[in-house]
Amino acid sequence: MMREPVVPAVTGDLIIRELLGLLRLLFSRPRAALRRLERLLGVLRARVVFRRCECGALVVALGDVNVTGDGSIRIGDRVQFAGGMFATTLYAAPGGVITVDALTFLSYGVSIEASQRVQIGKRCQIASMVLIRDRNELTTAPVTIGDDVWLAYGVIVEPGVTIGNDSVVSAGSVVRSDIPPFSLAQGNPATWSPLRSTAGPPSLKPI
Amino acid sequence: MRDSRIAVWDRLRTRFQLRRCAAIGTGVVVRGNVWIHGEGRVVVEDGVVLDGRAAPIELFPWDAAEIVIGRGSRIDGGTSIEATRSVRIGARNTIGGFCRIMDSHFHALLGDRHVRPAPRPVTIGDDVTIGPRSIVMAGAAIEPGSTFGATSVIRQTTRGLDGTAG
Repeated sequence: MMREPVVPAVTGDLIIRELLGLLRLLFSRPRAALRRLERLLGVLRARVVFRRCECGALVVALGDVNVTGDGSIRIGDRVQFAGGMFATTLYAAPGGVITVDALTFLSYGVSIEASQRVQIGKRCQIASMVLIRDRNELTTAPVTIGDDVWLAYGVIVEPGVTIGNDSVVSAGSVVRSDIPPFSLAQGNPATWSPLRSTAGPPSLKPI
Repeated sequence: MRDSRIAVWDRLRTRFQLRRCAAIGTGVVVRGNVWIHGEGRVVVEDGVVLDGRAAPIELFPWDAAEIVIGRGSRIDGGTSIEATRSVRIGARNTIGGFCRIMDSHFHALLGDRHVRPAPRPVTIGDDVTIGPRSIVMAGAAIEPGSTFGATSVIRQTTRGLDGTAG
């Protein structure tokens, strides 16, 4: 069974507690305090960046995130956007819907483009320079990515694709057909094989 | 006169861009931006060209990790090199733009994905050409004189293409 982490509501009380904790940490472990401060600024940055979106609690944006288009964007609780060399882009065309569920981590340089619907599940790990789009030069069809999916560096997900829960897509792959749950996909176009494990599906802990 | 002034400026700029390197050889040229962060060591040997004009070049050695760029190598913009233990690039290599070189997968394939697997060092031999947008993954050992076309994914001991690319 996976544990669903409890997400506290952001209240004045929580913010004061956070700031006091930060002060205490500043004296004991200054480097950890700096990281904590960066996260806190990330939360504030996310508030600004996603002001026109439906945005959950404690979303963190540590780098540039460009939010464009007139479609709707929903970001779940505790979603993290990392910073890095390139900005992350979320583009929802009018009528398009992008949904990123709780606890998903997106690295820098990720592009998500939706004309209809792009749905990303819970606790996914999306590496840098990944492109997910539901419209290319030929077709437009919704994209669904399950829970606990890991898209490695530079993956491209093409329109109409469904990726099952717990699957892994290896670096540089181009996914053009559906990937079943708990499998490893690689190549261009991506082919998949089942992920064998004695350990069972990934046990995820809250970040 | 003007040329020499530009040369002086270029040299100062190179020094500034590479200020966090542990060692810099002679005749190193930096164009555009190079972004070095992390606590590890970066060694840039003689005559290396880092051309970060199209996009910044990222060199990211983690704590106690090492990135070595060999004599006379050339790296184009947008390339990111991340070392959790060791990435060694040999002499006279050409690495195209927007490549990614990393010596760890960062997540376990099975089990808890937040557990980081042990790093597997990356070694690139001499006289290697790697096309743009390629990915060099953990444990890759590229033999001297190899050529890889654009968007290659390299993850084992390999010789690459013989005379062809694409």
